[in-house]
Amino acid sequence: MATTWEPREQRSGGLAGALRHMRVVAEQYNIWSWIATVDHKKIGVMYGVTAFIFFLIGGLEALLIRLQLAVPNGAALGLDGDQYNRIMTMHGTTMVFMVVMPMSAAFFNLMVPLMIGARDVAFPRLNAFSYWVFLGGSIFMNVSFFTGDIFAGELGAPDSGWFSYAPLSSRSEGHGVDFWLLGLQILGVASLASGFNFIVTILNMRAPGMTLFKMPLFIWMTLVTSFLIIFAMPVIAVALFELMFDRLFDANFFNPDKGGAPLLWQHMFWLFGHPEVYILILPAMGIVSEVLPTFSRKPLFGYPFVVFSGIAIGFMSWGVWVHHMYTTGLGTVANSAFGISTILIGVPTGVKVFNWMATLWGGSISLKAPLMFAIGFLTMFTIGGLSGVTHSMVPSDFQQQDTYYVVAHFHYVLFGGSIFALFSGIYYWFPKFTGKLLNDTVGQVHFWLMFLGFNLTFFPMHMSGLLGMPRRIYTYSDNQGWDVWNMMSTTGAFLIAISMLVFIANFIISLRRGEKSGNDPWDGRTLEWSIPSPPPHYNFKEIPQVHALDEFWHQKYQEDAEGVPIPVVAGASADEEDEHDGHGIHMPSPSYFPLIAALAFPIIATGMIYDYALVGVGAVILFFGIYGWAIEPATEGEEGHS
Amino acid sequence: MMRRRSLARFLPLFVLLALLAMVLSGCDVDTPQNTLNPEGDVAKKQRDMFYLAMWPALGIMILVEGAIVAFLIRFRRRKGDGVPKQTHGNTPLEIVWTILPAIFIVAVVGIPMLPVLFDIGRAPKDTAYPIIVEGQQFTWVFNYPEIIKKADGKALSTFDEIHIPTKKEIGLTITSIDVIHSFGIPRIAGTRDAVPGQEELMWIKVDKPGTYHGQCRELCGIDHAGMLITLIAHDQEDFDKWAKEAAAGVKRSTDSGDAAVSGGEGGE
Repeated sequence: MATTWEPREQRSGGLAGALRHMRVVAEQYNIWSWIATVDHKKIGVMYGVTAFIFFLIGGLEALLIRLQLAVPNGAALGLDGDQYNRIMTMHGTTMVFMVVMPMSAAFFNLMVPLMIGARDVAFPRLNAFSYWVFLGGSIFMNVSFFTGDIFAGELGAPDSGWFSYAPLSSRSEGHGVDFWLLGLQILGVASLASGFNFIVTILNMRAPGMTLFKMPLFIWMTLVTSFLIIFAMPVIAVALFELMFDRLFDANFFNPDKGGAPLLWQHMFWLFGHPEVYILILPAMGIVSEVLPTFSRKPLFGYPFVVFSGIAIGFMSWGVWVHHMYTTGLGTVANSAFGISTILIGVPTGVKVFNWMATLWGGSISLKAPLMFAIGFLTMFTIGGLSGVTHSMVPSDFQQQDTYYVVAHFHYVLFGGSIFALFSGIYYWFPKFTGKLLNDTVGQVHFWLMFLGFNLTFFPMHMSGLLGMPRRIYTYSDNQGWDVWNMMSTTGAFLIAISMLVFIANFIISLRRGEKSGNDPWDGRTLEWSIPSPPPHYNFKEIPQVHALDEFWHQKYQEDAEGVPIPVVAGASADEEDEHDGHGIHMPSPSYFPLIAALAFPIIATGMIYDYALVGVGAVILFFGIYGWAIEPATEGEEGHS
Repeated sequence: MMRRRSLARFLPLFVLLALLAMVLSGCDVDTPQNTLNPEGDVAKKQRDMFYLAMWPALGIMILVEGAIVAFLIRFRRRKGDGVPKQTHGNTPLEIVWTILPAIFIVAVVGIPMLPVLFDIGRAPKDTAYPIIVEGQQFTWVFNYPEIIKKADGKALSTFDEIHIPTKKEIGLTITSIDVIHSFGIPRIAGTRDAVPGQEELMWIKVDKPGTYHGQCRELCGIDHAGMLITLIAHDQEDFDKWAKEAAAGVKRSTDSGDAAVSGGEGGE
């Protein structure tokens, strides 16, 4: 993938000259093609790899949690309450903000331009900026572990949970919560930038003929998710600023002793937090809505219903946040209203499940790994949804609030739902970006290990929860009847870990020696399968003209009056092997300014905690990055492609 | 042969069902914090509500999961299969499966929940026996306004151990002096948050004398796991006796072992 640059016209300035020199050196090692890239595919790969690394880190934290709780009295690992709280906090924060969200962003990046027939996103440099800000924020937050005296067993990470309820968080000693709130603030910038980017991309850059209702469902879900992101992130940003003022400048937003309101934090956190749940699940639903039709060789059943139920979920997600706060004493009227709205949000979700099932009905279902993971999503998400109904009922929830029953519920939705669907997406689209198939047999082994491990981990948590085991405790005594369920959970967690090793091995070996996939290994339906694997830098030699939903399928098959497909004689246009050097296609130039601008954020955040002088340094870097970005020409004339 | 192999593929699902059976068999076991083995009025209503939602949910789960597995077996791709008929949807059918579940879920779960919610959530009656519950890192303090200590004329306090009379409504006032805690004794009543600066009213009622256990449910710091609650329900006669002795400063060994009745020093 070596990319060559024409030497730019010499400009004055020592710093710019030095940077140019660095660029030439890095180019020799091909590093620069990643660091300065604005190509949505490379950014998508970086998002995916980074999110997976954080998945392993968050998973390691999960294993520590499970080891600690394997037997009563923490006898297996012997963490103290302080260490446990910090590890637990980072597990939740990592999995939500550094794994599922960026992994979804990876798919947005990789797939959106390809599926809508575009050459890149609307704002390629902003896209690179999003990634670098995300990376910086994630590293910043994880560095907090090492700010304690770790050799003495003191971790420096945040300790107030991923929800950081005030006033526990506002009074937490040390810098852990400062790292948490500033880190989240940084990650919010990344999410906002990519949210706007994908909204503009989807609304403006669709291929001619692709009306909104001819968009693939994944694109619809990306659009809804992006809107949720741009409305939800500002809410948490405000809450985080208030927490920052309480902690760093002695404000009293959440301090009850000075008239502040602890519950204010919860309202804002969950007003963000519940749409956030759908930010995590809607992309997964989008992936499954692509995989199920392809592997059943049938169109998605009731496309408009699935679209509208997705939009309905988006709207309704703003009206259910109090179900996280039933026990805080908001009164029975508030609890009834939010109880009913919570019960009703199950309906559009149920509609989707029925539509997916109807998609399978009458299909010709290929039980390959992508489908198996999609089925894993469908079956496990259903369980998570139903257990959600049982504690949407306020009286019943009083018993389950903050017990392992809730832990079981949301892991069925977020792991059984999102993570399974994301793996489905990885198995499905891997060939598009590598030209090789992930080994299916190993994929099946991976699926069943993960599926069994997942259920062994999280199903017993329903039980320990109903037996009254509270969340977030680092130890429990042996007379509670929780032992057997916890031991099962711990065993399952290690099974999941083994399944991840299987996946990693499959990924690496298939990347090197995998079976060649061709352009369209699954008899795909959407535009990405009409172009070579891996796609050229410019994606589409010619921007396609779209005539129908599932455009590429309709290029391959016509339907007779009864809906029976007949292959088009000429075959698909998939196998264009003619050499095209992209001559005449102008793509955005690589740029290092997004990285420079993004670098400023962790520096400013570090300055907020340790020394305000660093804030000034960060501000200068930010100014330099944005200024350079603004005056840099967006396209740089002809470029070579490979 | 083919059929058996495809069934074997779904063996793990049967393992799942076996797990489910294990779960259901564990419902009424005698463990200290079992939410499904209630003694208190509130907890009984809460358990009934849970079953009201759980049984239909379980039925739907088995139907849906079973259907998915059946579809996968029935419509799996066989050698020589052509491309199936392209069904795009069925609007009347989809309207039905949107409206029906909405009506079903509101009728079965939503409406029946409301009277129970208003009952559980009402303020304690005027005749209820008052106790003030105060969470603090990492102790529960229980103040009894109706038990005046002889030594200093102040209300009695106990730590981590709450004594109540049976067959009588208890009116709890729940608050916290530092961070948010949550007061719950699963066999008596579900949890209620103890929020600093806020006073929550809650009623409980227990008919059977005995010792019941609970613990803090909201993360409150390093020793969140150690913030245990013991509730001792006495019949009225025994309770009066306990109250009298406690007011006089007599220490009495209790069921939990280490006595937590405060005499003079901790009552402030």
